[in-house]
Amino acid sequence: MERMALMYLPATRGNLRFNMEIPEKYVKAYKDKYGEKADIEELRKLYEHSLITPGEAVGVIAAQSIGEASTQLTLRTKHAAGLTVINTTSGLPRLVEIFDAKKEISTPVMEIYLKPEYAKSKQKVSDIASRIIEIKIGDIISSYDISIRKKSVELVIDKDTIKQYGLSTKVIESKLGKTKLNAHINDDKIIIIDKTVDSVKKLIKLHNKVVDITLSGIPRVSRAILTRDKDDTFWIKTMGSNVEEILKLDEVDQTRTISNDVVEVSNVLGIEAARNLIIDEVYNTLQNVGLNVDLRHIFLIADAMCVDGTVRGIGRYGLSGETESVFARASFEIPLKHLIEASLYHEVDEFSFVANNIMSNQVIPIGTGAIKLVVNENGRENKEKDARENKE
Amino acid sequence: MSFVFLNGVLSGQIEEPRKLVKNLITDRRSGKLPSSLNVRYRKETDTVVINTDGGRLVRALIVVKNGKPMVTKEDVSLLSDGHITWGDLVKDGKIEYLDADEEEDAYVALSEEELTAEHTHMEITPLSIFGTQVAMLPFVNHSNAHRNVTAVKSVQQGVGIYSNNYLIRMDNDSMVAVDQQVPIVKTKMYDDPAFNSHVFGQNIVVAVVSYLGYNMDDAVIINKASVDRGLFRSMFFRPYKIEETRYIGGQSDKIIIPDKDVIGYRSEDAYQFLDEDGIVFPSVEVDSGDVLIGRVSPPRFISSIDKFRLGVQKQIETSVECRTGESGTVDNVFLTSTFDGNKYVSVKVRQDRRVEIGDKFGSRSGQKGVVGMLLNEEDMPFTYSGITPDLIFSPYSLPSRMSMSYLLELIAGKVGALGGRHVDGTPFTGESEEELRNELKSYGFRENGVETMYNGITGEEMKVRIFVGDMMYIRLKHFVANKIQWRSRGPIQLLTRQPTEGKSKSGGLRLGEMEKDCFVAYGAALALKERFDSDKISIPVCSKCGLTAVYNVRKKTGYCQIDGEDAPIKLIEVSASFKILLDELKAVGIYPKILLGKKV
Repeated sequence: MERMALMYLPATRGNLRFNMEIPEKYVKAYKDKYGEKADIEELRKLYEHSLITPGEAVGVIAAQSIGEASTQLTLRTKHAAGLTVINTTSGLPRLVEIFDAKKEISTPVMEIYLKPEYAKSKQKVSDIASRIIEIKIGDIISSYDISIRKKSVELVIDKDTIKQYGLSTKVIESKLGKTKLNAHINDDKIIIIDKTVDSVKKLIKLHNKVVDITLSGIPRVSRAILTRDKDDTFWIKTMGSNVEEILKLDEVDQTRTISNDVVEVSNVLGIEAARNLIIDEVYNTLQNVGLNVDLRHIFLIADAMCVDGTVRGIGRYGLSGETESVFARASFEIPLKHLIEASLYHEVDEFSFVANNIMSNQVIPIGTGAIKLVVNENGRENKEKDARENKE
Repeated sequence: MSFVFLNGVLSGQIEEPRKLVKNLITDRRSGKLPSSLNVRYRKETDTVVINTDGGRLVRALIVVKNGKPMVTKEDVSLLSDGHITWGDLVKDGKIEYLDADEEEDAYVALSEEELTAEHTHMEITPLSIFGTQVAMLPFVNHSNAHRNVTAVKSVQQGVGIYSNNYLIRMDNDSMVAVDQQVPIVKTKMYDDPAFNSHVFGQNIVVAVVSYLGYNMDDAVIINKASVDRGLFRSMFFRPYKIEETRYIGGQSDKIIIPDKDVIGYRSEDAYQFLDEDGIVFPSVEVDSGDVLIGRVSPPRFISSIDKFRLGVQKQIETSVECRTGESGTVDNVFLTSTFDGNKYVSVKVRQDRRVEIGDKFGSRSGQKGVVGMLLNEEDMPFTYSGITPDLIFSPYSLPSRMSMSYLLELIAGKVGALGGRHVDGTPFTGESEEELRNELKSYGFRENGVETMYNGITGEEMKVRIFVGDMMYIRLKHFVANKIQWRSRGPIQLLTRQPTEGKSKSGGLRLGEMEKDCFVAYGAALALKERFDSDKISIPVCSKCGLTAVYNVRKKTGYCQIDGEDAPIKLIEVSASFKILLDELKAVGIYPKILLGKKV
C-alpha cells in the first residue's frame, strides 16, 4: 500500500489520479482458482510484476511519447497579454524549464490557500494578500540624487505612496537601522553616506543596494491576486515564489499551498513533493495545449529526476551527464572531456547500456537482447536427442 | 520648413512642400518636366523627395481627375485605330508612370466602376496588379490566393520548350517536352508571341471522378492509350563535359581510346562506341557504363619505383561513362577549346521519357499530383458519346483547397474545344461563368459540365453524373526515372566502411538516430544489430593487453605486438567505426583496454 500512496498527488491539486487497482476479472479468476479466501496481496504482487514486460524500453517509449507531443507544442504556443491575469510560461519553454530543473524559472507562481476561518472573508484574504506583497525602498521613492562630493545617496520618499502602502517613515528608519548602512531620514529624504566611496560607480552600486531593501512583505513576492472558488472561498495567486516564508504564516493552510518552482519546493517540502510537482506541472502543461500523454511516462521521468534525493535535470549537467557508461556519456555531449576523464580515473565501461552497444555493434540489452539464453549441453533436450541418435 | 531631396541629395528648403509637389506633378503632366520624374511629400520626415535617376521600377497608370479617367473611350478607339500612340497619351498627361515612392500617395482604382472623387489613378487593366506568371493563370480571381501561389510554383516546374535552340545548347539536366500546345483557355498574356513559342502543357480531357482507388490522395490516373499516342512525351538531355587538361611538366590528358595497359582499363565492350578520336559518335544508343569520351591522364604521383623503371610511364584511365541507371541516344557532340587552349569535348545524351507511374503532373490552378496508374483505354470510364478521358482527377482534392479556377478552366476548356475557339480566362476581365455555361448549353451539353459516364470495366452506368471537360495539364520536371534508387550491396566509404551516401554514389538509406530509437522501443535488439552490421568487422584482440593484435586468418595464428607470440588472441566482432574510435583514442594517448569476457 505504501507504493500506491506514492502514485497519488496532493489532494488539492489532484485531478490526476492513477488507478492501480487490480481489474475485476483478474480478481475473479484468482478466486476461482485459489478459492474465496485466497490472499489478494499475493495477486497484487503478481499483478504489479506483470505490468511491464521484462526488457521493455520504458525510457525510450516515455521519451518518444513526450517528444512526439512536444514537436506539435512549439507551433501552438500562444501568449496572452493581460493586466489582471498572471501569465505563466507555458508550452515548450515551460517543459524545457521543468526537465532541465532550472534553479530560476521565468515565471514563479504560488497558489496560497488559507485556513477555513480566513478563507471565507474577502476582506481578511485581501489583507493577507497586501501583507505578503514585497515592498522595497525602490517602490516608495519618487527621485534620487547621487553626490560624489558629499559621498552620499539621497532618496526622496513619495509621501502618497507610503500612505497607500500603510507605511511610515519610522518603519523605514527601523528597517534601515538593521542594515550596516550609515543612513538617516531627514524630512522626506533618506540620506545614506558612505565615506569609503571614491567613484560614481560605487555610489550607483550603493543606490541599487538600498533600493533593493525590503520594507514589508515577503521577499520575491511581487504581486498577489485574489481568486474566488466555486464554494465562495478565496485563495491567493502570487507572482514570485517564496514557499518557505509563506508557510510560516499562521493563516496559510500548509497542506495545500504550493509553488510551481520545482527546485524550491524540493528544498522546502522535500523530494516527494517535488516529484509530484514535476508530474503535475508537466501533465498540466501538456494538457493545456490539448495533448494527452499517458501519466505513466511522466511518472517515469519524474522518478528518474528525483531518484537520488535531489532534483536533477535531464541533460548534460543532469541525468545524461551522470550515466555510468563512458561511451554513452561521450556520445551525448562533449566527448573529449568524458574520454580524458575516463582515462585519468581508469574507468571501465561494462557495455550494459544502449548507446555504447550500438557504437560497437553489439546486441543491446533491451527487449529480445535483454535475455541471454544458454543451453546446457548436457540438458534434457540434448540427452533425448543423443539417445535418439544412438538408437539409429 | 521642409527639406527637398533631389535623387537622395539635400538640395534645398521650402515653405509649402505640398504646393511644390502639386506644381511638379502638373508640370510633368503638361510635358514641361520629363515623365520619368517622380515626386512625393513624406509627412513623417517632413521632406520632399524628387527622383529622376534610373533604375527605379515604374508603373503606368491612368490619371483620374474628379472621379473621371483622363483616358476616354475616344482615346481608346483612336489608339486602337492607330491614329495616336501610347507616347501621345503619356505626353498629354493622361497616363503617367509612378515609382514606388510616389505610389504611396496614389489612390488607385481597379476598374472604372469603383471610381470615386478621391481616386487619383486607375489601373489600365486589372490584370496589371499581377506579375507575369500569375497573369498567365486562367481565372485566378476565383481562387484562393494561396492556391495561386502554389499554381505559379508548379507552373514554374513545368516541362515545355524552354528555349528554341535547345538542340545546340548544353544545359545541365535540361528537359524538353514534345508536341506542346497553346492552352485553349488563355489569358491576355498569351497574346505575346514569345509565349506561343515557349509553350508548356497539353490540352487534355479530364474527368473528375474517383476511379479504382488509384487516384486517391492527389494521385491521377492517365490513359495508357493516350501515352502510347505520345501524350506528355518529353526528352531528357544529359551533357557530359570533359577537358584535355595540361599539367606542369609538359604532361597532359589525352582524349583517345585508352590502351589496354592503362591503369583502370575497362572491358573492351565499354569502349565499343568510341570513334577513332576517342569520342562516341552521334546517334549511338548508349547504356549505363558505356564510355562516352575516352581519356587517359598522367599518374598523379610519380612513385619512386617508376623512376628506375625503363619504358613509358603508365597512364591512368579517366574516361567519362554514361551514368548508372541512365541510357539514351547520343544526340550531339560538341568540340571546342577552352580559354587556356585545352581541348574541350561535350557529349549530349538524349533520353526519351514516356509517362510512367510516379511522374508528376499539374494544372494551372495549384492542383498537382502523381500518376498512380496508367490505365488501359478500354478500362477507362467513357461518356455516352464515347469520349474517354486522358486523365482522371480525384474530386476529393477540391473541397478543402477551394481552387475554383480548376473547375472554371474545365468548363471553359470544354466550351473552347466544342466551339473550336480559344476562351479568354483573363482574371477580372475574361469570359464570365454564366456566358460559358450558356454556350455549353447551346452545344447540347449540360450547362454545369457534367455528363453521364459508364464504368469502363463493367459497362455499368455510373450513378452520378461526372464532371468532365478539357483543360491544360503540365508535366512537371520531377520524373521518377531521375529519382529512383535502390541498393542491396554497393560501394562503401573507405574510412568508416559504412555505405556511401547519395543517389549518385548508389548509396544506402541511413537508419538514423530516431529510427534506431524505434527499434529500441520495440525491443527488436537483434534486428537492430543486424541493421548496423553494414560495417561489421572482426578484429583480433590480445586478451592480455586488450589491444588489437595481428592475426593470420588462413593459418589461424597471430601475435600481439606487445605480448608477443604466446599471448592468446581472440577475434571479436565490432563495427569498423568503433575500431576507428579505439585507434583514435590510442592516437591521443588514451589506452582503450578491451577486457574480454566469456562468450555467450
